[in-house]
Amino acid sequence: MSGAGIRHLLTAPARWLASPGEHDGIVVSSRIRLARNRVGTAFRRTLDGEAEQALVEDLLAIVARATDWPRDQLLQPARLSELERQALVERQLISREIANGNRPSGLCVSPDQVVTLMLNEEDHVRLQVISAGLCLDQCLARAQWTDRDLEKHVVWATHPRLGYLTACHTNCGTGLRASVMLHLPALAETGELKAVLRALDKLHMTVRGLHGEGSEATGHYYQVSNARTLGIEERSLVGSIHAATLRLIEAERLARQALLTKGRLTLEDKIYRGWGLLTHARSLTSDELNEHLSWVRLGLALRLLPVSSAIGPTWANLDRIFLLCQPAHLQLLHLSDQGSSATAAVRDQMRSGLVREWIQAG
Amino acid sequence: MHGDCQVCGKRPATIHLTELPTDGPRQEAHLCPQCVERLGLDLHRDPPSVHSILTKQSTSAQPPAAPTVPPPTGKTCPRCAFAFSDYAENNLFGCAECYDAFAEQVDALLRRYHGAVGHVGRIPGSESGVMPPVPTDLVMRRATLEARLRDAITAERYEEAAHLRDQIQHLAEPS
Repeated sequence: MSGAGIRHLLTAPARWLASPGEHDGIVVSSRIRLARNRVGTAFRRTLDGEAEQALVEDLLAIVARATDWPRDQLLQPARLSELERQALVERQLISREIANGNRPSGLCVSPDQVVTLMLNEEDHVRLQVISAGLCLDQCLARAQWTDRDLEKHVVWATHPRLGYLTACHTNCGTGLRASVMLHLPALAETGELKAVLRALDKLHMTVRGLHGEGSEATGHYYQVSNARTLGIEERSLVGSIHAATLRLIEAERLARQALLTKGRLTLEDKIYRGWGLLTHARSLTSDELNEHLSWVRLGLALRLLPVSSAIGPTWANLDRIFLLCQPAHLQLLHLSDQGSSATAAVRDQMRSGLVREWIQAG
Repeated sequence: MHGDCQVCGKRPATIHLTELPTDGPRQEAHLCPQCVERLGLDLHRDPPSVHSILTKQSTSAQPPAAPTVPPPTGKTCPRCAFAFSDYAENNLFGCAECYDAFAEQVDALLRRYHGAVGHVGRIPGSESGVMPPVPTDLVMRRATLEARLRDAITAERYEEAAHLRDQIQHLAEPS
């Protein structure tokens, strides 16, 4: 692994994971993203590699002047290993686009890892604030605070009528995307989720999987965000996602009660099967883990699992397993312990071993 | 990714059709899977012509809510030499000035996707919504610690419970 900065980023607790929070573990995290472009520089599509590198270096220098963030947390992902980039995706610190591409890019992370700046993503700057629980207002305040710090050193491309200009027309205006990550196993199980998602679509909201655009809703995690960014003030946009989230929380709670009332045996069976596999399996794929972890999480929220036994699940353990048993994290661990890459079969074995070890450690 | 379906104007277009007729200009259609299904298009066995899709769209039972984007005029952006027809490739403009260079098409795109063509909200230098950078998740951390405390007490893990109680107390104290 390279420098101290990336080592810290890949080992510190993720600030967006602190289950269960206020809503029985239904809300995982809130995120605000602002898209910004520097005036006078073409968008990424028309820049060549050299111009992109120059842009990234300029922006890194601007961030260094505008913030007091640790210098070893102002990085160029292209200089990291592919595994490190994938692990940053698993920690929600960079987009898959930056992780997969070989184009020059930058990543700046605040000391508390709540604010990140992705440089030369689809837009010159993607400012992200992510934190645990339902806290969009606070995330917006923090994003605007950082935006103002940057504005003292860089002029953003704006239009008198259209607001902030972005590479894609779907982001212009406020450049704001507000999203909430939710765990909705009961709505998925009762089949009501499709109707709920259709209703959100009519309200100009989009629903994506765990890692954003194009990703699957693995482990019953869904991200709800605003589709429109123009013609609505930031606080209203955030307010609409907050309100939709409250409705989803209520719907998930009702679905959980319905499962308890009408299909308790089936529900308990899924939860205990999940718990049995986590505590006894000798090999677990990533998908299997997510599936079973989801049911155990629900079991814990509904107090159906024996929290009083010596080896009971705890929220802290489930969060730790959720984060650290992802493929790139496991591969990095193997690399650091054994000095070599692990095959998929070895990773699955490692995953089940770590899950058992961490659960037994309490 | 990005870009809206040319039929419903709401959902993201993930299916892209390009037609290269020998006797005319290139034609494109960008659709979402729902509209492909609704219009009964069989893309694998019998790909329809772009013209036929547009015809189906106009005769569709759905209200034509979205304004049509005027066709490209061959004009290019004076700054980055980007042509509007390039936009359809991946829905990305060449530079900020493209918004003015293709104002007519851009307005239709914006109206269709956002239902608006005027920004409301913050602009650089404006101080609306000024707030100090407070910890974003105090409430969440407290609720989580309290839940963990309850579990620790139920499971009779008293040492852990004492530690958690200290942490909660620490959260409450002004720093």
